[in-house]
Amino acid sequence: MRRVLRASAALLVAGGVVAGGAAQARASDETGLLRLAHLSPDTPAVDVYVDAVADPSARITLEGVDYGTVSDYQDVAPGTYTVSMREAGASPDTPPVLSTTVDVSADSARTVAGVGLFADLGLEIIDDSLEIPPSGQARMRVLAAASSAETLDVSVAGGAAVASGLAFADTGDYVDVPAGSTTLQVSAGGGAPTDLPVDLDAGAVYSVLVLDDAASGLTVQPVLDAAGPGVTPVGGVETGAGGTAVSDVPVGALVALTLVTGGAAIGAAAVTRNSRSRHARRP
Amino acid sequence: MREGLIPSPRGGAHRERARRPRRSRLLWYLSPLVVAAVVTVVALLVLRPGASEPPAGTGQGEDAAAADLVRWVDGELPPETVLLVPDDVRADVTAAGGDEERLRPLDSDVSGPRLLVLSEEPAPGSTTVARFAAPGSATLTVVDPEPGQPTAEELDRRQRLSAAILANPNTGATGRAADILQRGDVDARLLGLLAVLVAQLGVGIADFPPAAGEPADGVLARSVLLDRVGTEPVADGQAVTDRLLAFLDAQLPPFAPQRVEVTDEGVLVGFGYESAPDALVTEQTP
Repeated sequence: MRRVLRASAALLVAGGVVAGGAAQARASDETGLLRLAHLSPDTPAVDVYVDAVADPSARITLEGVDYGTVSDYQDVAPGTYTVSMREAGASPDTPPVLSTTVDVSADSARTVAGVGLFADLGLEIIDDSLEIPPSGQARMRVLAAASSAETLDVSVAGGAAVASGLAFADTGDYVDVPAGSTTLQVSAGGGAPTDLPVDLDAGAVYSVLVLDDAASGLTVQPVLDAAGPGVTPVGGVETGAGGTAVSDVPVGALVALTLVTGGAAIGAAAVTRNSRSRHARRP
Repeated sequence: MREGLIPSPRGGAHRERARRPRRSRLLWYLSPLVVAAVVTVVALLVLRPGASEPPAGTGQGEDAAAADLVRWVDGELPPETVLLVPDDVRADVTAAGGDEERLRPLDSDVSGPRLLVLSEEPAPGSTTVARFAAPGSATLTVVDPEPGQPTAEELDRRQRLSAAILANPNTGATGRAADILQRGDVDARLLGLLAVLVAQLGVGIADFPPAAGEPADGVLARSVLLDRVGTEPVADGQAVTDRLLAFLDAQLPPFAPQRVEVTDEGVLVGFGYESAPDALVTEQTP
């Protein structure tokens, strides 16, 4: 019997949207927004490196990214970025492992998310909506990140369904709902729903994370995508050099991002790697 | 004794003996020229560049083409890729050291990755992956019967990634290497690896050398020669080279290279042939 923690509801009621102390910034027509999310319940924490392919001076480092973390948006120059990572706390001599590349265009927002279980970890690049909902409305979607729920149903009490039968590791579509104080009804696997009171600001856009919690239940964590016309949570992410990174890397104007994921790879790879022959001749 | 070999009732032996002094004198006069000619020919053969090695892409002996094919298979194909081979070719390839387990009859039902080896001209429209020819051997052509076609999105991603790599001031690609990058004619796995190498280490891209037997154009580059890390040239025993090798060794599929080799010119990094590398990358990363 799964239970949705009331504690998470309290966060919602309090308007405790996860924005990590983010500044409210206006998205620029000349930059894009990038963030990362660790949504893999059994994947260890990772250090993540985001590097601009064309600009060797542009790097973002996120250390100790663990399950349930969604970074704030980072304002980045349009371009192509590599996302690489290594297990958090690994020796600085340990090279990071390339996970994916991601393109960022101007006036866009993307989330790079590590999803699924460690043994089958995947990276998803999710397009985020920055479009403002109609007057008096809020917009929300569900990210199913709880492995204890094969499927999720989420709806606004007395209103439209936000997600129906959403499978673990999937992302639902945005749905416009009436703004104001309301109740989310969340059920796992077709079970009895649990009511969670929430406050939804008019004109705001939310991603609602459904996560495993330590007590084998579920917890819900709303993340602010956009707070109003052109306003998104930006910044707040630790940046700088780590591991094998060159020191004093400028992080400035650009950069940033990041993501998620899973170190996925780090362990899974050890298995898959053996399946591929490698003929390395070393000095 | 020698005289007794050419007896002639008509005095032939006598005539032979009578001519010997004149021929001996002739040989005496000509011998320095003969010796000089032989020495010259030998010197030219010895001093010719690469004279001690068989020409690239060819082997020696009657099964040279088969031997070259076997070398190519060992170095350029993932272990799971099967070769469908005509019966009349299979014996030659096996005799040249080919792995019997991966050599199957042409009509075999294989569900995994497979390539055809033909001793005849491939049908028009076929994708030729490699070709091996040698004197005394039938020309062997390796054909991909079902080459993967990248989607428009995958092609676009390749183009953008290539452009970003070229834009990095550390890349230093010129000539043919730059042309290949500008066309985006690089295997998506290698391209992803190059992106992170350029972004994090600042490697220099010297060339995309094709394997022996493979066409220089028309197929995606799967190998790259890296000659620098930052401003330092890579060479055997250098700390910067060790750092590069460690970085390469840490990578995971689909970005883990199949071959890493330190050469006099730099570090050669290669991936095995895949029919649809773009799809492979898309499947494992977004």
